[in-house]
Amino acid sequence: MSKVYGKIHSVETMGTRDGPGLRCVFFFAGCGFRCRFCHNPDTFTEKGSSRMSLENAIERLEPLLPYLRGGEGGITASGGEPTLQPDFLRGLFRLAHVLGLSTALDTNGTCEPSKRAGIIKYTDTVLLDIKASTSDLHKWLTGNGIERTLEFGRIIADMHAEKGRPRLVLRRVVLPGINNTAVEIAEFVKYIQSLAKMPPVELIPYHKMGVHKWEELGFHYTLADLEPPTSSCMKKFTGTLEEVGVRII
Amino acid sequence: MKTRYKKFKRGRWNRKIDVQDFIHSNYKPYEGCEEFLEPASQRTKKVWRKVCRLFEKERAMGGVLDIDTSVAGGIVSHKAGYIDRANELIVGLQSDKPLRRTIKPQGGFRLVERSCEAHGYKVSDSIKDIYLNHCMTHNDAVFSAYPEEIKKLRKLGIITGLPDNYARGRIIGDYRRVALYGIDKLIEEKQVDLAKLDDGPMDTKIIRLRLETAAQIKALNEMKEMGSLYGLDLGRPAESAREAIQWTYMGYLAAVKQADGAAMSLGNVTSFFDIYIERDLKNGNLMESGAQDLIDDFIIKLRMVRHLRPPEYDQIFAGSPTWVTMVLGGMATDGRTKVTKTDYRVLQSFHNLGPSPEPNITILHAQRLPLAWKKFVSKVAIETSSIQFENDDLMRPIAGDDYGISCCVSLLRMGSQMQFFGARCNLPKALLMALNEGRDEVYGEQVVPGIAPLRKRYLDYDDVHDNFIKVLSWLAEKYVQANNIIHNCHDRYYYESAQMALLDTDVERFMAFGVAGLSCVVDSLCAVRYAKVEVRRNRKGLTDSFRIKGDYPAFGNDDDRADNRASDLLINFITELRKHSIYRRANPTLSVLTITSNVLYGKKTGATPDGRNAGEPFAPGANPMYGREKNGALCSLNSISKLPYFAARDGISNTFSMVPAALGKNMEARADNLIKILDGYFSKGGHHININVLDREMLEDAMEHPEKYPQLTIRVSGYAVHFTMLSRQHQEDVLKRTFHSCF
Repeated sequence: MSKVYGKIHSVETMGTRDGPGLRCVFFFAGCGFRCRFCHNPDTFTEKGSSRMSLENAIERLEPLLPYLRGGEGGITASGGEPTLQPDFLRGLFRLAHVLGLSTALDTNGTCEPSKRAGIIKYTDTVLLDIKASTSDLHKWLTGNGIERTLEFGRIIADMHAEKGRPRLVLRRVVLPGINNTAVEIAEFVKYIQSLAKMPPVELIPYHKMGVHKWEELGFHYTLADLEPPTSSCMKKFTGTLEEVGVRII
Repeated sequence: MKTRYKKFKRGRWNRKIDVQDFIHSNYKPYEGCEEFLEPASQRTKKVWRKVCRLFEKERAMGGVLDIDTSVAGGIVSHKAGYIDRANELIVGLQSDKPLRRTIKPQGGFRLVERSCEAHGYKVSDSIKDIYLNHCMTHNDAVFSAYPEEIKKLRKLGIITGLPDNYARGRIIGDYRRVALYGIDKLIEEKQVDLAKLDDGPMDTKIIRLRLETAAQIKALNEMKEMGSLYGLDLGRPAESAREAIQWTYMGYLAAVKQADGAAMSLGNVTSFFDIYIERDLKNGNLMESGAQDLIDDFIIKLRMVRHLRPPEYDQIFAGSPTWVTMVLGGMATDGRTKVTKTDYRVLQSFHNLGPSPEPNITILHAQRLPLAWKKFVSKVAIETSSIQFENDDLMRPIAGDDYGISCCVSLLRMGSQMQFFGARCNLPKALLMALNEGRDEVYGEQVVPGIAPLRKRYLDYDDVHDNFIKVLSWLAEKYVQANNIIHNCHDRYYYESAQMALLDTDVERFMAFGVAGLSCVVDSLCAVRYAKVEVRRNRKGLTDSFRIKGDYPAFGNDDDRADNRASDLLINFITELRKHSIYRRANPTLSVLTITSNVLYGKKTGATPDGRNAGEPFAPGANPMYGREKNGALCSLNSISKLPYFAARDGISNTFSMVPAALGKNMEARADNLIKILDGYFSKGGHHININVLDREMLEDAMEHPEKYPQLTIRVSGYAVHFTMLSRQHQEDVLKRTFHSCF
C-alpha cells in the first residue's frame, strides 16, 4: 500500500471544545461546504496546508500522550471536512486507537458512502454539525443540500442503537434569527425524534472571532451584521429541546 | 499516659522529637469529597469584616497602617494584641495592635530609618543611638566585608536581590513541636544538645554552635513568656484541637515577631492539626462547624502578618508579600494519601473568607491522589487563581513525606533542614558580558577579566558560547563569595533564634542560588546558532541592538534544540557553583524563579540577541518568553517539564495562565481538564506550576477600577499577589504574558 498523507491546516494541542476531555485537534484542509458563518474559512481549500504522514502524526502525538490518555481525552479530526481525506483520516484514527486515545470526528456528514464503514470502524464519537434543518436554509447557508448530512446521522444513530458505538452528538451553531426560528427548531426536533435513539445536542453560540480571517483572505463576509445570540436566546433554544427530552451538553 | 496524649497511638515520637512519626502513627487519610464542609460562622464573618476594614484603611494610607518606632521588635517586645478579643478563637498579633508594624534594626538601621521615613515616621533617638553607635547590624557587617568586585556586581544588577539589605528568611521552624511537646520539653532537649558540646577543643565552630543553642533556649523561654501574655501555658503540650492550632501559631508568631525575612513560611501542618480535630470530634468536644471556625480564624491570623519594607524592596517583590507558604495534600511514603479533612477545611477558608495571596497555598500533587481531592482542588484553583501545585512524586523520594515549601518553590524537610537564601543571578547580563569583553553592556564597566573581544559583524556561536561559559564560571565564584559573606554575617548579627530553636540542633543546610532570564538566554543562544544575528555596537563598542535574520527554535515549543540548551545551562551553572567552598558546608542548590523581579531585572538589562529590546522584562521563572510559544499550551508545559530538577533542586517555577473558555465549556469540564493537564505535566517531570484562569478583560478593568476588585488574586512566579496592589508596570507585565486560549 502506498503511503498516505494528509493535508493538514493546523494542529491544536490543547483542544477543550471539540469532543469530551482534553483533545489534540487536527484541522483538515479543504471543505465542500461554504458556510456563510464559518470561523475557519482558511480551511476552505488546501491552500497553505502542510503535508502530514502518519509518522508525523505520531511525532506530534507522542509528547502529548500523558495529557490525552486515560479519561475521555484523545484526538479530534475537524477542519475543513476531514472525510474529504478518508484514507488519511482512517489511518489517523486507527493510529490513535493503537496509542490508546479516543477519537472524535467533527463532520458535516458528507462522507463518500463507500468510505463510511472504514472510518466509522475507528471512530468513537461523531460530532455531526447540522447547520440548518430546512432544506432551503441549509442550501443558502452552506451552498449544499442537507440530505447526505441527515442520512449520515441516521446511519450513526442506528449503529449506536445496535452496537453501542460510535456515540453521536448533534451540533448546531446558533445564528440568531436565522437557524433558531420556530420552523427550524421544529424541524430539528422532528429529525432528532426520528432517530433510533435521541442523541445529545450541543448548541454553540455563534461568535465573530473568525470574521477577520474572511477579510484577510479577501473573501466577502455576508453576515457582517449578525450578532452573537444573547443568553436568553440560547436558553430558549435549549429549553425547547429539553422539553422533548433531548439532553443538552 | 498523660491525658494530653490520650487516644494517640504511641511510637518513636514519645521517645524523641519526631513529629513525622506522630503524624504517621495517628493521622486519618480522607478520600471522600467536600460535602462535609461548613460555611463561615457569624463569628468568622464578624471578625473578618473588621479585618477587611483594617485592610482598606491600610491600603488607603499607602500600604502601611501604623509603625511602632519606639522599640525594636522581638518575641516579647509588645504586649498582647487583639482584633476583637471576645470573638477571636486563635489569638496573637505581631504587636499590640492589628497591622501595626514593628522595626527590626538588627537587619540594618539605615534601612529601617528609610522605611519609616517613606511612610512619614521617625525612629526614636534611643534606638538610633543604640544601632548606629553601639552595635553591628547585618547590613553594616555585610558591606564591611564585601570586596569591591561584589559591590560592583550588585550595583550593575548582575547579581541582584541579595539578602544583604533585607532579612534572608526562608527558614521554616517546625512550629508543630510547640504543640506536640510543649516548650518545657523543647528546652530540655536543647539543653541536652548544649551539654553535648561541653567537651572538645572549643574552636570557633563549637563556640558558634554553643552560642546559637543558648540563643535558641533564650528564644524558647521568651516564647513561653509571650504565651503567658495571652494567658496560654505553652510550657506544656496542647490538649485540644484549639490548643494545637494556637500553640503552633504561637511558634510561628514568635518567628515573625523576631525576624522579617523575605519569606516566612509555615510548612506542613494540616495532617497534624487534623489528628487533634479528629480526636475532639470523636470525643464530642467539637463539631464540624467548630473545626471550620478554628481553621478560618487561623487563616485570618496568617493574613495579618506584616513586615516593614524599604521602598526598593517593593520594586523587586511587588505587593508586599510575606510568603506564609503552606502545603496541602501529597502522599505518605507508605502509599496512603496525606489528604485529610483539614486539607479541605483550609481550602474552604478560601471560600469563607475569599481569595488572598496569604497563606500561599501549595498543593503537593501526586498521580495517585484521591480523585475527589483532585477535583475539589482544581475547582478552587480555577475559581480563585491563587493556588500553586508542586510535584510530590518528584520531591517525596528526596525528602520523605513530611516537608514544607519555603518561600515559593523550595523544598525543606520539616524540622531537620534549613536554607541560606541566595537570590539570583541575571543570566542575560552574563551573556551580554560575554559579547562585550567582560564589560557591562549598559555602563561599559569592566567586570569579568580575560574575555576575548568578538569583532565579527555576525555572532559566531562557538565564540559566543566559549565566552559565556567563561563568564559563568567566573561569576559562580563571586556569587558563592557574596553568599558566604551574607550568611556568615546574618548568623552572627541577625540570627533567627526562634525558628532555629524549632529545628534540630544538627540541622542540614542548603545554599539556594538562583537564575533569572533563563528562556531569554536560551533563545539568544538559539538565535545565534540557528539564525544569523548581526550585532550593532555603540560608540563605546558595547552591544546596542541585534538584527536577526531567519528563524530559530525558541524555548517553550517542545523543541529539543532549545530545551536541551536550557537543561545544559542549568547543569553547567550548578556544577560551577559546586566547585566552591560554601559557608557551613551547605549544599548548593539552584532555582529558576523570579517572582515579580523579572520586570526589574529586565529593566536593568540591555537588548539581547533573541530580539528582546533593552529594558523589556524577562519571562517570569522558567517560563518561555512572551509570544514565542507557537505550538500551544501543552508544548510549552513539555519544554518546562524537561528542565532537570536534579540540577535545580531549589525549584523550577512555571506560571500558566489561561482564559476560562480555553479550559473547557463549564466548571465540570474545566476541572476535569485541569486534572489532566496537571497529571500530564507532572508525569513528565514538571516541578511547579501556578494556575491562573482569568479573563484578560477583567484584569484590564481591575487596572482602571481597582476599588471593584479588592480581593482579586493572581499567581506570579511562585507566589500570589493582590492584582490591584501591583505597580502599573507589573500589571502591564502580567497582561503581556501569554494567556493560553484556543478557538
